[in-house]
Amino acid sequence: MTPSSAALRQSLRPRTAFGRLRRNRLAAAGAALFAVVLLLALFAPYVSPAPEDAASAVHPAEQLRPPSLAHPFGTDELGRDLFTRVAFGARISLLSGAVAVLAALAIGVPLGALAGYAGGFWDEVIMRFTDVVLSFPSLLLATAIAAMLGHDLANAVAAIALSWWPWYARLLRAQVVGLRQREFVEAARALGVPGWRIIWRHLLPNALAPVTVQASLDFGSVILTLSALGFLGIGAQPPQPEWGLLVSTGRNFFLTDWWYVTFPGLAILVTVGAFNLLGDGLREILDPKAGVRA
Amino acid sequence: MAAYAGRRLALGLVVVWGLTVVTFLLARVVPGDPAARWAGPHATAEEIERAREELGLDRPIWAQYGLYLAELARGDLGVSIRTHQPVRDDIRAFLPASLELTLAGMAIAVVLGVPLGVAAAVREGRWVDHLTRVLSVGGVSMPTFWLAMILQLVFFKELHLLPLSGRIDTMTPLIHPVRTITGSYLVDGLLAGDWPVVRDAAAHLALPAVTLSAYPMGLIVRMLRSSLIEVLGEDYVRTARAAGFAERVVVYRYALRNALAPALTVVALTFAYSLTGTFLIESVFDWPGLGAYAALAVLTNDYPAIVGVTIVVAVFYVGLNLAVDLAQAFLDPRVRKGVVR
Repeated sequence: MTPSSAALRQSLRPRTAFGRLRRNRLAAAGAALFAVVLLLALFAPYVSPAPEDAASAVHPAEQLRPPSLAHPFGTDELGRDLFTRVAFGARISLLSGAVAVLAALAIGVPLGALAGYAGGFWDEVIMRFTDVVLSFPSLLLATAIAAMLGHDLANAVAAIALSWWPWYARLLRAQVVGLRQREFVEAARALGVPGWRIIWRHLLPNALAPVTVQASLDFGSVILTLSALGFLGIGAQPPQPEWGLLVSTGRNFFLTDWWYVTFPGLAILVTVGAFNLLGDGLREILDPKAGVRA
Repeated sequence: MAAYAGRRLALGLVVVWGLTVVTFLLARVVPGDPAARWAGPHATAEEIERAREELGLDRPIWAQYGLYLAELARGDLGVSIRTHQPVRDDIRAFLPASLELTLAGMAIAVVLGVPLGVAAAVREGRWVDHLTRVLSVGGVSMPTFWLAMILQLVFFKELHLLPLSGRIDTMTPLIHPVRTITGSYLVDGLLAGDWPVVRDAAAHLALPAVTLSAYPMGLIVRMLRSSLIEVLGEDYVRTARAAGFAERVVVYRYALRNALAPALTVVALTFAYSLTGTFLIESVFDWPGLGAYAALAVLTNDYPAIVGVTIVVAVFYVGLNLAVDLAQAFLDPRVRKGVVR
């Protein structure tokens, strides 16, 4: 393949795939749901009835009120507006989820590139190590690491990154192995370009696309794990309005005050569901065999 | 087959050895001085020094790792800080309840997931498919601890159909003593033919098991749907149709058999995952299992218990992984010849 036709395909493919993505109903539904959550997070201070309730405000007269016009999601045991807390919780979930995924990429991508490019001994060592980390169920490993590091949101994010990176290392290695023998890499090597530069300038730009797609789809699972750690008490701490923590606190009142657990949980469901729908839509588009009637 | 099995087994051993390294590192990243923690909050400097010697913490790190391996080899997982019992005994006491719950959850997931997956694939694009998609996406996107409470609200508080929590009514074992054989009230009751016990145990098991089944069911439906759709497009399926076989025969006898393999892998792997899932729901249902034990351990910084549960569940997971790979190699010659995967 000549470089110009490769460039042409590079420039054409995203556009057509994006076009197909827009026409896919699953993906559209997922994108719409995500947009709602994203807007909620961005404009939390403006759409919330009581922005000060995101932290540790107390309103003794308003404790545990059911949903009403003033408090669409009701209030909690300190009289704080739950809609406000869920809206600000969206900021925590989206931001921590993004940091966790980026950190996992920052570990997994270099290791995968090194394993794929170097081959031999380093490949074996790195890939067997990823096998070991992957042989823990991810929630178990994240829980254990977060519990060991100490209970706070930053540690929970680190724990998720530390249990998640092997997926990206594996995916990137596979890409690099596929690219390593291509002419443009061999040409660079014949010209005496150093290894790190070949990886950086020639391999990574061509290998990153599938990893990026996978990482953005994993966002949902990461947010779900984050809420699980919050629920277990080893993630975000009060008074942070993290969704899992809200459900956990609401557990003390849920049989009498149903709204307390219901709305934060729905927020998790909608956000994670958005990414799963997007992922399903994407798979239908990229895999021509799926989604076409036999 | 033997060569493949040998290779796979060797890799399994490497992974288990790696697990010991990772859990050892895990126990080492704990902030603070483990000797001081072991000696207690009011210990003098001498007592802390003595604890350091006793725990072998004064020795070089590789010697500590050797010590750790030797303890593991004897099945010694240390002593729980919270219960003051050997972690091994704690796990042995709490594991049966979790296994009962996990098995029940997996059974529900398979019994509902397989027909739903088939229906969605065969009627692709119709309303069954859409309904199934809502269920399966919901299942994998829902926080299980939240689903647990929603089910309690509906079936306990509103409908008064099922008990809120626990494994059995406190009175039931007193009125109907049943000999413990498997450690599961449901199975022991069935073995004894004692229906009140069976009914009570099943009623208590229903909500936690359904909660636990949501995630694996969603996965099974999604996997089975996509693999069956792919198989239904194969030439031999077209041939079978052209030969005039009934659609039911084509789907169930020819296509499903080939589409099940990936779904079976998912079933086996989500089994160990569900065991971790019990961390999140056992405390909600007051289910006295490993998950509730682990959830308390992480809250109370019971480090030996955390590491112990992590090792046991991880080894379980590795074993299942190995079993799945061997089963697939046995069923599919392409796997052991290294043609696929």
